[in-house]
Amino acid sequence: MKKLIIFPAIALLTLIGATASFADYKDIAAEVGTIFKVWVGGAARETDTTVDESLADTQSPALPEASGRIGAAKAGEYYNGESSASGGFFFKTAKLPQRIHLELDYFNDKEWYGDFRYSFLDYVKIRALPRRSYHNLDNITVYDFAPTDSTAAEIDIKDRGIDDYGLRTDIDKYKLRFKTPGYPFHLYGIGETVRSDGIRQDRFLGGSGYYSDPVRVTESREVDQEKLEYIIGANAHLGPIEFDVSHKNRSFESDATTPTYNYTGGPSAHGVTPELEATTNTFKLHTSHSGRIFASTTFSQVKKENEDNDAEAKNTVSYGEIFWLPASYLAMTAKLRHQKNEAAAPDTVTGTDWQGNTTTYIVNPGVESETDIAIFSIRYSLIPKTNLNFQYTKRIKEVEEQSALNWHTPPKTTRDEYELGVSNWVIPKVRTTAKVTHTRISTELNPGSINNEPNRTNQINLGLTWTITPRILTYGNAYAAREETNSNRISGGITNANEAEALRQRYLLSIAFMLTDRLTVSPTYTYLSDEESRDIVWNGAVDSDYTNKQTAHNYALNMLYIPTDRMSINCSVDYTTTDGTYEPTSPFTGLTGSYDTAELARFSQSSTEEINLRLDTDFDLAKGWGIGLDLRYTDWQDESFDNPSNGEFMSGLLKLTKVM
Amino acid sequence: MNLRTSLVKGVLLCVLLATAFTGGCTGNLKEDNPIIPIREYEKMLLGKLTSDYVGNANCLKGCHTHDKLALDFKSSTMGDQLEQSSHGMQIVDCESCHGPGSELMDEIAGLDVNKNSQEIIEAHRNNLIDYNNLPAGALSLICLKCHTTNATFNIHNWNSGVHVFNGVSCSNCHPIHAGADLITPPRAVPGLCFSCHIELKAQFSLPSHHPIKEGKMSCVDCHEPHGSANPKQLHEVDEKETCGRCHAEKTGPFIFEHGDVTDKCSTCHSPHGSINNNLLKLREPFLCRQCHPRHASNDTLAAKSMFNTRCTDCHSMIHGSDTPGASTVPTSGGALTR
Repeated sequence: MKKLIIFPAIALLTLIGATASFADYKDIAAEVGTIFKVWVGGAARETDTTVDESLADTQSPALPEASGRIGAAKAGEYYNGESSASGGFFFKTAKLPQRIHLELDYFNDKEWYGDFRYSFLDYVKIRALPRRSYHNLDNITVYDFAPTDSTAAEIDIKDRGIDDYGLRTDIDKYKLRFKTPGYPFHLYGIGETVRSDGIRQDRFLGGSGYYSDPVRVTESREVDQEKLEYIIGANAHLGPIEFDVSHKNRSFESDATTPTYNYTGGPSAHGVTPELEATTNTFKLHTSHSGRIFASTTFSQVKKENEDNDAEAKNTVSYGEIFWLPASYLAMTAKLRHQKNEAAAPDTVTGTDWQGNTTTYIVNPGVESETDIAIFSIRYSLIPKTNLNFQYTKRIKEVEEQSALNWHTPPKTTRDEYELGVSNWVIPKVRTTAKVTHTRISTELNPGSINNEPNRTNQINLGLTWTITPRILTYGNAYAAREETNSNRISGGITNANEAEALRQRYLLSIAFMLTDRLTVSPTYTYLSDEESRDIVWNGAVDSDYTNKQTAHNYALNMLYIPTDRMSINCSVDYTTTDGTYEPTSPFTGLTGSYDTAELARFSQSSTEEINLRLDTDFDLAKGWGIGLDLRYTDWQDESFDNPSNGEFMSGLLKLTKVM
Repeated sequence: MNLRTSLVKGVLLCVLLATAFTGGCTGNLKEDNPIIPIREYEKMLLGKLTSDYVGNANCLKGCHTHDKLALDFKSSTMGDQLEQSSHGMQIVDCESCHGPGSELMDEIAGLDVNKNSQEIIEAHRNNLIDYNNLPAGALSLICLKCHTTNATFNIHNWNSGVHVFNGVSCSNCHPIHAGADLITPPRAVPGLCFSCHIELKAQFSLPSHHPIKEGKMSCVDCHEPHGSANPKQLHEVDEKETCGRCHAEKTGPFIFEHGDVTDKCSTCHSPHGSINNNLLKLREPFLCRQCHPRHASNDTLAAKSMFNTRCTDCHSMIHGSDTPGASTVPTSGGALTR
């Protein structure tokens, strides 16, 4: 019903805009050196969400707990449904010796954005970038597939009906830089804080007897955590080369209460969030960019510590590249990168098991490995307006011997990648690109080790940009990749479940019609598909060639209409549908019990539909005054088996602006 | 392994030093001057060493007095330096970027802009640096000749970066005449990136995505468009460190890790968008099944209800944990269930 209102509303506003006329327009371009603009307004928002149980009603056999499904009450992933007064300002001046840029858009306490900059010549630069956003989270249903079977796992839903899971995330970034006058020596500092605050669903394994009496529990959990990061550094010239040295410190801690669960042996904490600390030291050198030969190198070392125990990790990266431009039509580069990952943890830790006994558990420290990457690229302008690119990449990853045995990873993986690309704009107003990539991966395998990368991959990517007429621009892109795997894909020493194939496709067509000097319409269609066929193992038996297919269609229509010099209307419609299905092979549809793999395949079914409408208009009135209207509408339908929900979100923001 | 690490570092340093001292780096770098004197460089790009400099008066006060090009440029930092009161900063004028203009002046002398506009445009094309036909790398050098020596250290890996090799130059993202500064506002970055990487735009419309289209994040939060020493032009040394900038709680190190899978988040997640919750490449349990066989158990209804649904309902600390699982078996501490 609302769609019937929204679409005519857009048409009506467009018509009003086309006929509106205002006097005394002031050309602010003449004053572009200093701009000061303020806006105030208010946003009315409404969210209407329902839980859709139709899937349970229409599919047979219905799952026993279907009637208890609650799904998530949401209308998409990122929005905040609170109505609020809003406002903001934009001030910019660029009169030497000072430059100032102050920008703030406040929509509500969970959604605002700022960008504040000040500089005095190039001696001092200060910048602050605060951001606030809200992320709606799901309340996913946990099912009991066998409620009448006393030997089956039970469920314990403690958060039934809670529909406001979500996190407010604050990301604030600060930059400060000093430069010595007349000499390029810089001192700089960068700070970043990321704070998350809210509640989320916590699903975990409970039960008085743990594995012996499993209970799948879901409950609410508080989130209150902060990451603090700062970088201090310096850079300058050292004769023919430039250097940069920096030190970064990152710390993370959570102030939220750690939840506990009562096993037979007493209460035990779960989902403990440790305090983490990391430092990174980086040293960079490079030669001048203006020569025909250019080289740069980077050494970086990351040390990470878990402050709650003795777990440590270290990543060391050495990187170098050399670029050579022997002629304007020929460029070559060679890159070499070495990364060493180290990990340390105690051999054993003690903990309390579900019976309340103190047990000593064996620890496998993280995987230690060394990875070398060599890349050679060449770019050749074969004929004018035609470029030929070739790139060869070799990557060798070696896992430390004991790590490979502990974690069932290949001790050595070698990857060779060949990439050939052509771009061409010989035909006037037509630009074509083509790129083919062939990748081969070979692995040395221990008994029981697992290979999670495809052995062969072939990719092709074609692009076309065509200015058919000065008023019609077309863009098309086609991408397809086929991945094949034929060795040790499954852990646990299973050697007869090796085959896997995947076909990934992306197609896009976009056309921009400049219908008049003041009206541009751009429809776009995109198709995405991932189809995987592979062996999986059910209870020791191989299910060959099961397929999992995921598809998405995206239809977008953008319209920019400038009916007069004082008015702009930006309108967009975005419609996306997605589907995900799993198809087991026939031998696995008749196993013991009421719920065979075909039945369980329903669990992987997903189907979503989302419509986004936006109408953003700005009207310049007399003497710098203006009004604006930003209307948004989202219609969300999620028919996924474990998380069905419908929702609508509407937002209207009315703005009054003044340019001074 | 240590010997190999040292060898790699030694080779890299030798290459760099050899390049620095043989690569034509002349001039006094301990001043705010580019390595090759600007004027010689411009003549080289122009390809007409006989052309000479005539000053701004012929451009701004001659023809480009009132057009938007001049107004926008005048409001920019570089435009402000056109004024002689540049407070000691380098003077940047039209010819700094477009090359010496004496031969252009000779050719258009006497032409009427109202009657001979095509000839004037053609003369500009023939006598100034021809941006339309300059390879991206060479085009960028026009900017780099100054910015290599001053305050733009994020171009450390520019020359060998993927953008240069794919025909992208500075001015594709930083419109030179457009305003008071050339910093691309974070909220404008995705639109800029999608103008070439248009296929990615649709991925951000999938049900699970990072809030790029909502304007809460920007591509440059993860990627360094000017080039990087790291794969996929990431800011940090690997995916785990990059994702950890916002998802620090998942980075560890933990006592019980999930192998080295968590070093590469993209093993399980599709960062630009997915049809599945939490950006997962596949839904559970099939995502996990790709590497792990099912729990060893008989195929009863009870077992299926436990083991064929969502693995992370029980293995809730899938990114790593400090707490051993509650089993009584000493080797099962790393079950990631607590």
